[in-house]
Amino acid sequence: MQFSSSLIFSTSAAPNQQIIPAVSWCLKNLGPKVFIIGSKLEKSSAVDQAVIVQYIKEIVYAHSGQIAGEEYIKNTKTYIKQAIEKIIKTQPNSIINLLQGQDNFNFFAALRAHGISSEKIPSMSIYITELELDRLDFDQLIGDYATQNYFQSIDTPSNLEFIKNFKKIYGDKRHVNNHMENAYIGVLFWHIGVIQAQSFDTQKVRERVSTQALAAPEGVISIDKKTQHTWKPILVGRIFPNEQFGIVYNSVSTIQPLRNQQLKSNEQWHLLLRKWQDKFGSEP
Amino acid sequence: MNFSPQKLDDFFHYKLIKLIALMCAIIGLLILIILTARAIYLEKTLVPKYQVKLEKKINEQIEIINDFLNRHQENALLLAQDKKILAYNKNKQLDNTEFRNYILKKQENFKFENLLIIDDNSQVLFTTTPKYAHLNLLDETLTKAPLRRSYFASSMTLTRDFSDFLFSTILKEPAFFITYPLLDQQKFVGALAYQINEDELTAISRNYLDLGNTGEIVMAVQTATDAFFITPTRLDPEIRFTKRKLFEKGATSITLRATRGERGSGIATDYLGNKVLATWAFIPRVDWGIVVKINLEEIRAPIEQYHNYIIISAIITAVFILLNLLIYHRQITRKLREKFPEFIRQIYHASYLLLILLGIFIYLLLISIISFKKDYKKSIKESQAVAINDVKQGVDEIEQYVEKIQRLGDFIAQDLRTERLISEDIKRRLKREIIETDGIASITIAYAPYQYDKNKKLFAPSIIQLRDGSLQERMIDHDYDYSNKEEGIIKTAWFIKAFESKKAQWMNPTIEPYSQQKVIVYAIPFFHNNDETPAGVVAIAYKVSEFSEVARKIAIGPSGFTHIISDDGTFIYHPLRRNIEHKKTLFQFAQEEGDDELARIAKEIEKGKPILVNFENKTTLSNAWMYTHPVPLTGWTVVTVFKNSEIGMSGVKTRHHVFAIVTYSLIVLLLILAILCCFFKRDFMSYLAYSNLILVATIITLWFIIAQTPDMVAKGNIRVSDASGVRKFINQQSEEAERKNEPLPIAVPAGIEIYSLEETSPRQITFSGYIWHRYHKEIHKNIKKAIRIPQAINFSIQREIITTENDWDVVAMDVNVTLYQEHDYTFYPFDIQRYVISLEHADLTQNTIVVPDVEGYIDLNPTKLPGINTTFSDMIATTKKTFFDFVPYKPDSDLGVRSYRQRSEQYRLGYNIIMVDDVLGPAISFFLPLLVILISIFAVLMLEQRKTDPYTIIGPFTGLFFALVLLHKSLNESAPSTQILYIEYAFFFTYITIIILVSHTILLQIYNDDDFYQNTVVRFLKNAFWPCQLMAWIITTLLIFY
Repeated sequence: MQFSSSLIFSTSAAPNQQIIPAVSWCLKNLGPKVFIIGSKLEKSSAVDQAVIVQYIKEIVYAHSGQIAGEEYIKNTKTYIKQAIEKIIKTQPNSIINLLQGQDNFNFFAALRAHGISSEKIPSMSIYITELELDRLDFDQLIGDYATQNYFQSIDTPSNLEFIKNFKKIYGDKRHVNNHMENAYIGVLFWHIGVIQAQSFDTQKVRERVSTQALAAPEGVISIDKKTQHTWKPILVGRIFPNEQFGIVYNSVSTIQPLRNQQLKSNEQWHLLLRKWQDKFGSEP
Repeated sequence: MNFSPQKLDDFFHYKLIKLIALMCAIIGLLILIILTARAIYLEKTLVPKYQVKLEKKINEQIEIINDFLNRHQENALLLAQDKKILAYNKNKQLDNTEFRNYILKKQENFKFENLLIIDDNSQVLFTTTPKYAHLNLLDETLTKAPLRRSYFASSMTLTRDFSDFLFSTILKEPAFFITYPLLDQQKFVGALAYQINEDELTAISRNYLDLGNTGEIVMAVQTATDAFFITPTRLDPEIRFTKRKLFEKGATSITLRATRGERGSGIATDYLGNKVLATWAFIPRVDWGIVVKINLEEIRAPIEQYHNYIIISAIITAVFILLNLLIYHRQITRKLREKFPEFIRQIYHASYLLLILLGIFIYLLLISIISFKKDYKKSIKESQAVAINDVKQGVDEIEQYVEKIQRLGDFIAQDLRTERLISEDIKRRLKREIIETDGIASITIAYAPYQYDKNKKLFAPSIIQLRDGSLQERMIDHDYDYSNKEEGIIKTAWFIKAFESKKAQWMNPTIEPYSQQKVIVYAIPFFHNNDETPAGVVAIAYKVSEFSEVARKIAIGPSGFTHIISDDGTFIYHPLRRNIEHKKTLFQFAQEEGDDELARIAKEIEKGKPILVNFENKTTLSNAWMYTHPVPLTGWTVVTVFKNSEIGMSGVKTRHHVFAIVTYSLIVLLLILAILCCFFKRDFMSYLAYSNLILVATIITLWFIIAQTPDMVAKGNIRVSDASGVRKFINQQSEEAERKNEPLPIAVPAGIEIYSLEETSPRQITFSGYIWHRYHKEIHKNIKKAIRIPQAINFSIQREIITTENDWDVVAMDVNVTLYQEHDYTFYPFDIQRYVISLEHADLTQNTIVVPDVEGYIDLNPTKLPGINTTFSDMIATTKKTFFDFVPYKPDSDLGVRSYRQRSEQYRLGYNIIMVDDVLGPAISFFLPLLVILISIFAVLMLEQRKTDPYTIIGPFTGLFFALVLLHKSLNESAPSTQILYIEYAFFFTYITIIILVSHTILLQIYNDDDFYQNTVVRFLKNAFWPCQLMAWIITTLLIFY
């Protein structure tokens, strides 16, 4: 969890702030059988995906769930067809979707064409945000779920203000997503750090940022001094016809970026990473 | 001893005395300079020094809290990994003495409050506190319980979680947990909830080292909707988990800022309204805000002490300087005699200097007038901006709710159209939607005739959420034919309107027949694929209470209120329930009140644009502002009303501005007079004589301003002047009680009618009149019928009449009551006395709150003096206002009834009488005799001449002095106060005048042969007598009342 450089701060989610609760939520609310769908990736992206899949498997095991199957597709009809046939065959309660970008469009179009609606087998996406809904044929995704730390539909006064200001600059049609908000709060942290340090000196600013908290659009968030990740809330959203997420679960309080050492120790993680790096040809 | 000026001179001729006097004066001056320098130094350094100290303290405190949390976190982790606990959880034993003893030993070591073991099905298997036994966290009544949220967060993330530190609905007290997932062989088997002993936390917050006498540590937490103090504070030990004070506008910004993640330090106003130096920060792990602060008054105490030393040393130095003047008077007067005429001449020829000064002060006068106007307009605009902002936020919030419902309706309709939702799934889907979306009372899918099945006319499954949260399935088609208008338009409108218009419709408020809740219905038609005729209607009934809550939150000023109007003008929410029940429109309401202006506004609202208007409220006869803002999605309008008199500049601020204007005007007029005197070649003495007119006019103006700008601020009290205020208060109390799981408050309407009121002693008043209280046969059936006045020294009931009227019993008492009242006469005779008669219900077993019997009074407008019968005239002063307010109080004991202490917030109903002293009375009793004494002193001064025997002068002065002393004594008896009264300063000036004039009599004899003293100085004294008096009064008035 800790960065190799003390100058790096992360405003994006740690595993226990996104992927772990996403899977747990599916197991508790949709049923114990999950199907993992991902992309066929290479090098460091493949390693990242392998880490996520490893987490999914551990959580499924921890909650006594079952992996109905896992498929990693390339953007070809054969791959997609093969994956869908497997889904139909295994009849999972939910699909954990790790697909990114256009892969989503092709996969969901094919899935709906095979008569699998979100009512029958809902999916939980990790990478689908408001921007993807804007770009994809989102109609196919209505009723599916996603887990993030920020949704545009959060109804806090600070978020309403944030959206209003954003739309004032970029127009009414533009949506804000989790990644954009992460970037925004990153700059805000730095801004407050500079003001408090009364200096642009990196070390001085870093010291200030490492103990910083601020009222972000999703609520009061803060930097974890030890890991330099951000304390954030967990939100599970359901895709509504208005291209927005309706929030079905909100942790309300912020969650510390942590890793449970009981599930896997640091050494075990290092060994696994080395194995994947060798497998996918990624630089350590 | 015979008085001889020569002897005095001889005395002063002793060299030693001369030297001592001179040395004392020099030393005095040196001390004065040193003290002033020190005071300036402290002024510049003290606050920054304390700021550094507070920064250090807050960092230390955060470290202590973090250590405290780390320690408990480690303890909790050890327990979560404890094999015995894991085994206990695995075997799902319900209780076991051996295991209990094991945990109790752990409790002794780790000092936790409670430990819970919860299995993976959310069932509590073990608890050290019986209240949690056999509890299942999936229970819907525990939705907001901090333990449940923490359990779910921990089980979802498989990492530890710190719960919210909130009021536990189970324990009925605040609780704070660290929850760890229980993992057995990497499998989630449950969770361990470790409840922290909050006494330890309270002890941490009581670390007042280096914080002086008023310093304290305040800790608070903010949730999605509220903010609370989580530990008692030094200055308010009962403040914990009350939100009232935190939300006072402008009073607690630092605490709120801390809970919102800010860090900072500086001078601010605290939750008690005191000026403090504070540092504030946020504690991320637990989302708490912490404030370390000290009252500014205490920090500045050394500076104030130096100010006192400066005053004392200045007086002593002045005495020595005067003594030196007496010793060296001959040398000084010789010089003066030579220079004075030339000096006066120079001044009078320097009229250009006067013109420059006049220009400067006219400029300052204009600036102060412009600033006054600007500030006045600004304060009005600020209040309007707050109203606009609040209403806009409210509209945004309403739109959020509306959008949520519309989205859901559209979603279901679309799924029906695309057959994503098939008939077998309808009930399951509707149930899930109701559970996932707050505020829904029911969802119905009603098919049009023969659309569901060609052989069946109607099909309308409905899921209803009852008041207790349980879900009920119902087929509406079994109850009535919703497609038939003849069933009644109210019953069928939702279907028929949406079906016929083929568009989504928002229906007006109605009572949902199955759950008996007030709802508004969103009805949207759904179609079969590519078919233009609707196949049916999806109807979602949404609880009105969700919208009412939004409106209730918007209130500008003590009596401001908000209502929501539907597109046809009827009230969706209004503080007066009858306006909703009678389905009255705003226009009808205006017509009934005969209020043309309101009727015009009602018409304007129909245009659907935001309006800000000023109008005369016919009901309260007061000038009010109304801001309306449409809710575009539904065509509704949110309207907020606030009184003009409750916004704008405060009396104090107005007085500040007007005082500045009066001061500059006085200087300008005096300068004009000086220029005129120069122009018409009048001497300085004439100038002094003419200036009296300006000074008299000024003092009268100041008195008039003081009388017109009273400042009665009652901190922390909730004032009510109409039914909406009472309703708002009761709703707030009910919510608060619900949040804390305390018994819900029962309002007992009561009233008071006073016939006579007198001040029987400096600390007592006695009144006679009627007090009544009313009891509904159902609502109040278990309540004793008794009311009491807690401060009463003597409470005698002449007679008690009980009457029954419909379902109400009315107990009316003819009473004579003497009660304790503290009077504040500091500003006498411009003081405003506030008498408060507190009413409390005598039934201690119930959570009763005495509320004003609104309908018992014709008008509750404070200026209409409700509750005082003015036919009788033995009131002690002029009654300006009477009103009711709710006064918070904390009982020191439970009076022997244990349930009495269950309520954490208690209120008494206060009946307030604001009385203004009749200025004429004190003017005749004290001011006139004082004036007579001053005129007599002046007459003696005028009559005193070079050859007058000093004894014939000292005699009258002594007599006048005694008259003054007697008058002063009489004043102190009439207006007893521990502080100096305003009018007393006039007495002090008269004492000083007598001393000066007695000294003058001595000097007149010493300088018997001196023409300069006998002519110039004596003439100056006579001419300057009144201007000096008036100037002293003006300056004192400005200083005291500024």
